[in-house]
Amino acid sequence: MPIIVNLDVMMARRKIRSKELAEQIGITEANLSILKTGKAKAIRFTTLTAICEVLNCQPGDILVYESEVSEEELTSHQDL
Amino acid sequence: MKFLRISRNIILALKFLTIAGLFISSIAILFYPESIHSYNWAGFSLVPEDENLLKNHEGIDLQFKPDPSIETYLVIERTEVRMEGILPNMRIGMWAFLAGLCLTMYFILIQVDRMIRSVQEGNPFNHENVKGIYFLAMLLACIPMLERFFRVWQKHWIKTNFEMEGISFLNESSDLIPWLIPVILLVTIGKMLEMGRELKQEQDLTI
Repeated sequence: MPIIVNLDVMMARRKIRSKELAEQIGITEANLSILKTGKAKAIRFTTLTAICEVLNCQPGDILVYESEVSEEELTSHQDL
Repeated sequence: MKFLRISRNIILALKFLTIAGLFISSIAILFYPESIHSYNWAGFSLVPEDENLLKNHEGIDLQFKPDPSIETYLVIERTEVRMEGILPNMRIGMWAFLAGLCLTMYFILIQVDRMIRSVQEGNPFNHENVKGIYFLAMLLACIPMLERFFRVWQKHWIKTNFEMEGISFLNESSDLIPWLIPVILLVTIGKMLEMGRELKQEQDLTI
């Protein structure tokens, strides 16, 4: 999936543990792990809001879009 | 939920009846062959080729009763065939057929019971149920084909082993259609369960 979850990066920056974050946002540690490893299919706005509140960040800090098209393909398109 | 509980109890009773039926029939077929002396083995129709046999018989009053002046008759066109007596090796074949039938029935009951239990537990959208539904559909589709195959073989066996002067087999119409609708229905339910399973998986992975 082209959406990358950078939750672990933000957690490291804020020096917060998984257990602590899970407790504060009100989800299980197992679900937080699914989110961190990128296995999640979707994220609720309520969960995203809670994460942003606890980590004091923006949704864009946690979710990043990366195109699946390789750089070579991208440059060839630009040349055309 | 009460309905599901009752359904499971019915299935439990059917399971018991299937096993008991197999046990009793096995004893009857294998040890008491005289008890199955007039087993209706050939349940198909024959058509007499003799035209006289198709007309109203004297001695059998099949005339329209309310008004005898109206020329309306019931005509006997075909007869059911019953095999009297059991051939020595036939008992084993009959027992094998019955055992297969009972075991298939038991397996179907297990599948249905598992599906009802999953609904009781609130998790009907699982892979096992999808597989179970497809298996039942396949089984239902196989039944008329096996039956047809058996009838063809049966007719061939009768033709080669019995003298059939003046009598021919009736070309029975295909009975695939009544089976086709439940098969289509089961496959559709299977597809629905599969879609439900995917949706549930997505729901489970929504954090």
